[in-house]
Amino acid sequence: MEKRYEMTYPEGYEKLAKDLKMPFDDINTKKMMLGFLVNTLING
Amino acid sequence: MDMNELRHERATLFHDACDCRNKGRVPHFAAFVTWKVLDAGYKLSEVFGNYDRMEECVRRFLDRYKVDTLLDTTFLNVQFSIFSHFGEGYYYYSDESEAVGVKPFSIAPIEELLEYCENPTKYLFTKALPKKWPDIGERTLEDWQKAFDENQKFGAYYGRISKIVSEEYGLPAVSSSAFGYIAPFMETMFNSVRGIKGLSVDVRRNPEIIKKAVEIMDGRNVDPAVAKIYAAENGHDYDACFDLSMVMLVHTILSNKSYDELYWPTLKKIFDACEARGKNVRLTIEGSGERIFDHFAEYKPGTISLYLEEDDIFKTREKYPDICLIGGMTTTTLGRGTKDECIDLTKKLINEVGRDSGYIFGENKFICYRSDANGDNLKAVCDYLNTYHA
Repeated sequence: MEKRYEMTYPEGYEKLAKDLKMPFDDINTKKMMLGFLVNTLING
Repeated sequence: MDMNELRHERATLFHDACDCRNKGRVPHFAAFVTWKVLDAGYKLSEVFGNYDRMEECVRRFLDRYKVDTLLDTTFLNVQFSIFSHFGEGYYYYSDESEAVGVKPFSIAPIEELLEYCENPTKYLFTKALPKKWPDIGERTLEDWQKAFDENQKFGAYYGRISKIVSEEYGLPAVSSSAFGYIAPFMETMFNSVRGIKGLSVDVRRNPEIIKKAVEIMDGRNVDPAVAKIYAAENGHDYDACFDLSMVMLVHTILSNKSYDELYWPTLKKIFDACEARGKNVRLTIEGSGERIFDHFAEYKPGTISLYLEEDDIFKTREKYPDICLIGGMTTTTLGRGTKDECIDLTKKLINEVGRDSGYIFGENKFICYRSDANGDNLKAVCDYLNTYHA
């Protein structure tokens, strides 16, 4: 079963940020980077 | 010439023009966007999302046309490659019409605007994304990862092309990175959060909600930037053409009263700080802004430079002799005129708009369509600007 995410905050958001592979481990940085992605997805 | 020296020389031309004290060559602010793709012989579909080709288009443009800065190196900043993985976006393009378009959209309804302001990240994730794509919950980790990786590739391209433009072509950045991009919330609401139609109605029916939203968001985003300007040393950033850049669109739907109450207080804070610290702001005035220019003329020369789209640059110069003006080359002349007509207009702009100083040459629109410019005309104009000295 592939992993899916509930669109909840902060739980779903943090879980997704944690699971995404990024060039950093710090969770706050990962959350910030996910924020940039969400902005791109919303505005594009 | 050494590229660092060339970059500094060009940045100095811009800053001196903003300060209304340029006496030599008039710098060229080149607002070429998707036209670069067509001029390089490609279709839009052959370039969007293909970062090597995007770089090639920028290089081909800068190899042929000797401009002093280039507004756009990311082709409208739209990351079409993400949406091909994730779901349909608002932007679209067509090879047939050679155009990029955007569907009208609004992120939050007026009744949820203050909820958005309370925590934008939460709102976007829990409400806006599911509204845009009702099946968003079906996206797997792999889907999200692909979107993230594409977003990173775009960021890497932006870093790479910025370095190339700066180090290999000696172009200063358009704006200093010192203060980030300051976007008053009125503009953000107009562009995305409420959309043009929504905000047009809101400012008349719900001005109190809009005012509250502006207070929250500009207090959170603009005020710290203003504090940063006050904390900075006096003077310009010579790695860039302008210390700040802002694009104004929302004035086109505001009455004078709405403008004064909802927008001007934020702008005033920013401009006051810039005046106090000797920073210049390039204001791109979409549509016509004539009725609001009196506010700007009250600032010390050098604080505000106006990049005009629809306003007549010659009449604006007559009325405001101490404001630096940018623009003037029409797409009609550049696209459909002869070389002589293009050079004649360039001379007229330099002589009449830049009669003493305070003028930066530019196109009067962001150049997107094939018919907006003829390459031979542009080359002739660039060659003229590079050899002309007052």
